[in-house]
Amino acid sequence: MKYSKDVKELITERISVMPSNFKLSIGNYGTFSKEQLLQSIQDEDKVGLEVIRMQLNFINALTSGRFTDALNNE
Amino acid sequence: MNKLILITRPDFDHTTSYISYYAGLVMKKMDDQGIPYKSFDGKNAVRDEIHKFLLKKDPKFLFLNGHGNKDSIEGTKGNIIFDTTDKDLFKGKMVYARSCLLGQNFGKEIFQHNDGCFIGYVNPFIFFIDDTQSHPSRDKIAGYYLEPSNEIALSIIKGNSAQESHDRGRKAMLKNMKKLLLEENHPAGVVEALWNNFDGQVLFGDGEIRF
Repeated sequence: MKYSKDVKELITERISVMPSNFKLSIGNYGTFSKEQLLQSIQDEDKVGLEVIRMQLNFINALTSGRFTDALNNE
Repeated sequence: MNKLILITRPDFDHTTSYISYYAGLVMKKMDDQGIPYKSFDGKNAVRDEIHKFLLKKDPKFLFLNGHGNKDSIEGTKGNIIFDTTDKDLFKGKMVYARSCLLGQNFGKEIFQHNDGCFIGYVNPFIFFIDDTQSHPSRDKIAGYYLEPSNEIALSIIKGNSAQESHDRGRKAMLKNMKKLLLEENHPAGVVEALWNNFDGQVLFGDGEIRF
């Protein structure tokens, strides 16, 4: 799947503010540093696609109100 | 069916090392409460041994930690311990799989019309780790993800229903998301990852079943 330049830029912005000492564990894909995640997003490899999916899912939950509803019902 | 728990704890990379450590914390509670269990750790998490135990001892609750995909779950590296052809092994059992994607097909296929239950994830189960920490016990950020998932297993052994345990796990994730959002400088990306696990957690089968 090819994402638009805008989407990739948006996700890149979000990941680039992640602390440098953090790594993201994505099941059997492995554990990835910020630099590796940024590269994967650019390459749109399986890790990059997973990160884009996760971020878009969250943005969708925010804009649809699902995220706020879930927090309010806790 | 016996009031006994089967646990798998492979340990060969970052992910399995963290989830195995957290499964160990649940085992400590089981020890405290005198609840019998058998844990297949590290390289002992292999299909043949696990199936042998399952058939012989008939445990009621399976707490599975390991890498997965939509159709199967691994024990130690590359060793598939369960897949969708193992349907008959799960009749009447409670399964919590701390693993990626199993909810997409495995959980649905086996438990939709089964009198047992399955709690797992349709998304990859993801978490952040702090690379400056040398051990999962000292890694605060990983705890935000793994403690809520432990809550599911702890709730099941307490005797709560599958539905209650599923809800408790999700509630604990919401609580942590709130906690993170209230931190003035909460690290970027961490809430999104927690939402991924929250949104992807599913329950199939009998929600009223208890351990």
